[in-house]
Amino acid sequence: MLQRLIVTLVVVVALMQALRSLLPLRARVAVARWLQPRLPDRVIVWFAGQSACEACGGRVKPPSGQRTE
Amino acid sequence: MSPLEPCIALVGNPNCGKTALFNLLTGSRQKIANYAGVTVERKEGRLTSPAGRRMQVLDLPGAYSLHPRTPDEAVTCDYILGRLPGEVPPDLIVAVVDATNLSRHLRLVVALKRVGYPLVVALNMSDLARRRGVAVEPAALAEALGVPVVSTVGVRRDGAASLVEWLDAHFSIVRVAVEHVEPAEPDRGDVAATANDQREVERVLAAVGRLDPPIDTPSDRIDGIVLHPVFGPLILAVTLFLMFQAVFAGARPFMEALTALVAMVAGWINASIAPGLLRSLFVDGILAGAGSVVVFLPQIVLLFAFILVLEDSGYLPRAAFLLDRLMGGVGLSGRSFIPLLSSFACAIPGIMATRTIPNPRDRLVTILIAPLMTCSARLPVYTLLIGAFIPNRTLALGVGLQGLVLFVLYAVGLLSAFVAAFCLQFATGKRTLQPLQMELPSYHWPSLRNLGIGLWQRIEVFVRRVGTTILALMILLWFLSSVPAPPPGFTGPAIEWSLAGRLGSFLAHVFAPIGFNWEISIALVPGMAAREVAVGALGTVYSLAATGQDVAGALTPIVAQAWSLPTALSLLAWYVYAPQCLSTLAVIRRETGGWRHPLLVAGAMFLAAYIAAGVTYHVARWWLGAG
Repeated sequence: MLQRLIVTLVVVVALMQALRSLLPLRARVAVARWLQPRLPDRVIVWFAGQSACEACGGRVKPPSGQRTE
Repeated sequence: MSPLEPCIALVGNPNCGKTALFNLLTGSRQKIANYAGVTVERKEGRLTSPAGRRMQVLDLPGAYSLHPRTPDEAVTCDYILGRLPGEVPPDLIVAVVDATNLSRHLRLVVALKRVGYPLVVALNMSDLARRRGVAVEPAALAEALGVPVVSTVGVRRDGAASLVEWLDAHFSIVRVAVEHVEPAEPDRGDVAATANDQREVERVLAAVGRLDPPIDTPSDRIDGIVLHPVFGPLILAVTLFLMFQAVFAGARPFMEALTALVAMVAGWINASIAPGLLRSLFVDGILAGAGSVVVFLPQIVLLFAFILVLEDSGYLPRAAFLLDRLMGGVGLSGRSFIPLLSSFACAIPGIMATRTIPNPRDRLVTILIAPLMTCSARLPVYTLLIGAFIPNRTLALGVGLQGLVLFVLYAVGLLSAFVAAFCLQFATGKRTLQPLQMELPSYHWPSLRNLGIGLWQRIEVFVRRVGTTILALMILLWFLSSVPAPPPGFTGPAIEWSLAGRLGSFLAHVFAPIGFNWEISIALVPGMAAREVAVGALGTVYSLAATGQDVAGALTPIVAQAWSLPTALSLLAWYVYAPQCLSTLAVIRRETGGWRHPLLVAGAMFLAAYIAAGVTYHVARWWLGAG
């Protein structure tokens, strides 16, 4: 049971990391907005990128034109 | 950026040693991003002086004048003239000039002086100028120019000491001055204005007693051989050939050590965790997947070390000069060489480096053919297949067969790029002939420090990529290859029943005509994200296919046993062309401003890959009498 829990957690994190690496910024921000009510802010900031969140005091919104990475 | 920290902008002509000076000032405390709204790289670092003063240092793209001709120059000019949105203007400009070529470099200083910011001139490469007997006294130059001048040597550890000392001594002046600066517009940039600036430069040089450049320097003597019409191309070909030989031979012991390390970790996990889902995740997913990719780090480091040494020694611009005629024949200019050479490392910086090409048509063609250059992500795939199928034999003159095959694969990529450029001439219209004008910097010994920083940055990028994207994809592939579990009584390998197995069986129909089995077909799917992911994916797939062997770190013998030679050659041909890198396609979209060109590149390259792999497979089968 514990093994299944750990494996599920690892797979979910891997899925988020894959999306974070492969999705363009706009799509990432859209996913982050959908996830925002469901996950802690720290996870959202990691997923969407620091500058997308800094621009609006922790709330995720599309950046003002400056690329982050 | 903290408002209390002044911002110092390094400005200078290309190849004046600006980046070496930037590395010296900031060390590894660098942050690389993009300027707002454009895709030009922005390099920012932090300097803490011996007196404890903290300053931001900005390495601006090289510019010959304040009248831009390339996107890079435009960023520098817009930044200096306060037109770049979101950028705080500099508190001080450090104009970096090559002390061995003042007549060209001082023209930008004269233009910068007119803009009105506090300005200090860094007389870089002053050691080289002294050795050649063309050095000028900083004090005399400062008097003639009317701005402070300090001597620097970007490639020596203490080479920026006088500049840092000056910054410390004038820190308060720098902070106060900026509040009053309103940048002035530059002149019209026409012939008359340029001639005026050149006259001012000549007046300054006459005042310091340095007008005529030296006639015969050691660099000139070396160039006599290196740029010779016959010996030059020969030396270039031999240099590149030796580079690939060394990449293969030199990395072997380190790769073997890494393979043994990965296998040791796998053995330790096997002994510590009971058989089950968790152990399979670690051994079959993470170690067999990401571990198969990480063992190629030594080869990538060696390749980059060679490229950085060639770049730092001043040989690369010569290579561009040598290839100008050849590239002109296929409708490119010598300026395309450096972006294309960068693409050997990775197509992304290569495509971004095309911003230095002033002609939009040449730039577009260079962007479109850059993905055909053999990037370092192909190296793991090539090495895996060469190691498995090409015997480790030495031919005549100590030339290794495996290194030769690697060289040929690189040459095929380059040749294909030239053929594509030739064909694209008809699609992009007639090329207006532009003579190649570029700076040939003096030869110098590469700086170990710069080499170290450059290599460290590459290693960081590779390890981060393995630790994030590749690791994540490997875990997902392991998951898809493990669920659903086969029903009781199922006799085949469990992976065949899984989601990935079923997808592989379907894709195998598409790829069967070119000789790919279902394991390769599965590996190509996550391999769309990045080429080297396919190697990790093969590791995971074979590990889960219950081959009875420990796959982690030892994929080569399994592949050698499971595939036929035509299949291996077909996969090599596939990887010469296949556009399996989403990031490259995204960068092409960004640089060309639309989806048309990346889709064109992806479509054409997939078609070329399928045809090349098919032809290779069937010719190899026929040749070997297999079918």
